[in-house]
Amino acid sequence: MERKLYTIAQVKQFIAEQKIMVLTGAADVLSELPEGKWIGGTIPYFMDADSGKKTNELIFVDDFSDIAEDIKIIQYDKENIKNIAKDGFDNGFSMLLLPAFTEILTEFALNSFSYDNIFTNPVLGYVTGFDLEKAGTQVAQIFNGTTAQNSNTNGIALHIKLPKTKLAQVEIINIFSQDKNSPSIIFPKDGFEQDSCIINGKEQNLVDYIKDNNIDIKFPLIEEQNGALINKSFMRIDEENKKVIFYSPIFKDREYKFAQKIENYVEKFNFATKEITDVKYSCNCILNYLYGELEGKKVNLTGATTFGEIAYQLLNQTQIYLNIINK
Amino acid sequence: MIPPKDNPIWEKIVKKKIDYKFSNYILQLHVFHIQSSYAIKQMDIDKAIDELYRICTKYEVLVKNDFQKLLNEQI
Repeated sequence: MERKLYTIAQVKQFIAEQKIMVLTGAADVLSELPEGKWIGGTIPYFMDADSGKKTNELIFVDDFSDIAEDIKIIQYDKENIKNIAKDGFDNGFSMLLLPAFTEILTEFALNSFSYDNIFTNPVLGYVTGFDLEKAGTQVAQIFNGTTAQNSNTNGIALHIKLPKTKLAQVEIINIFSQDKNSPSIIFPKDGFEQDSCIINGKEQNLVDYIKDNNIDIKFPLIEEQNGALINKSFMRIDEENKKVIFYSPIFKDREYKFAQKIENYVEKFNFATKEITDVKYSCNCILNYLYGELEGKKVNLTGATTFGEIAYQLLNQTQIYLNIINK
Repeated sequence: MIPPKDNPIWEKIVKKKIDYKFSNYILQLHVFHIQSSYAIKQMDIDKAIDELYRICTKYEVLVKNDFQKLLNEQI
């Protein structure tokens, strides 16, 4: 099935056909769906087959029916999310949806690398969100298709078993790079909120440094994890308390750098993805959609535009994708 | 083919005696995690090598080219 937006009627038909799916759309449309082999998350922003668009009526469908030998759908809370990888099959992958601004997301973001078997199979997915124009009246939700019930505190996973001859591979596309002129920044504590830090060996307040040096916080801090560039996006600056709040946690004693500024997001994404084929799943970040002005523009990989991406850990301002390859 | 578990290359990776960036995300993350855990003594060398070898064996199809390059660089 083509990865794109479909009408509610079409999705109801797919559910009736027992398709195994991750469904993404506004809460009102997901609430209309019957029970079936699906999980869902609330997001109204998408990169559809023709262009970036916002819709509260259509549903983006990622269908895994053709590759799944078996599935398990499990709902998680902040206590048992640590079992996410252990609950998966010996060979397969786990699609995980977590609602934004929740305790379960904080728990996963801070601790996922310590979960049993986290690197054994891909754990990927996204952070669910809401219509930004309705912030304050809507909350991020997940849907459990087996019961057609929703939650704004729990996460939901679709564990998929692959045939022995297949392997799931998740990769990331980060269009940002570390600025060669950036200072080295090291923080003294783990967490989403930071104030004092060590910048090029000298203790300073991060808010002061950002203001004094006209740092554009549309661009993330970046950590290198053995070649993988991991973004930490700025949510906002709390000037009164001289704190910076991030969309994903900073970790103590690791080195971060400011990103090099970029302009044309579409060109960057299309260049980075020009040789990528046979994508089984992909999603991109709402910040790339907004800052890169992707509405009405086309980038190669389709998918939901999310409040955070999951690929073994919480990611920001990153596109992720899944390939199913032969062993 | 990935090298056998008793090849010294595994210990060199864990102890960061080789500066090599793997080309796929899973190995980049896993090596980062293993090196960090070993550095802060959350993992001893045997466990670190066991874990790294286990993941590389699972993802052999993805990492075999990296190991070919890595072993060539060591010669």
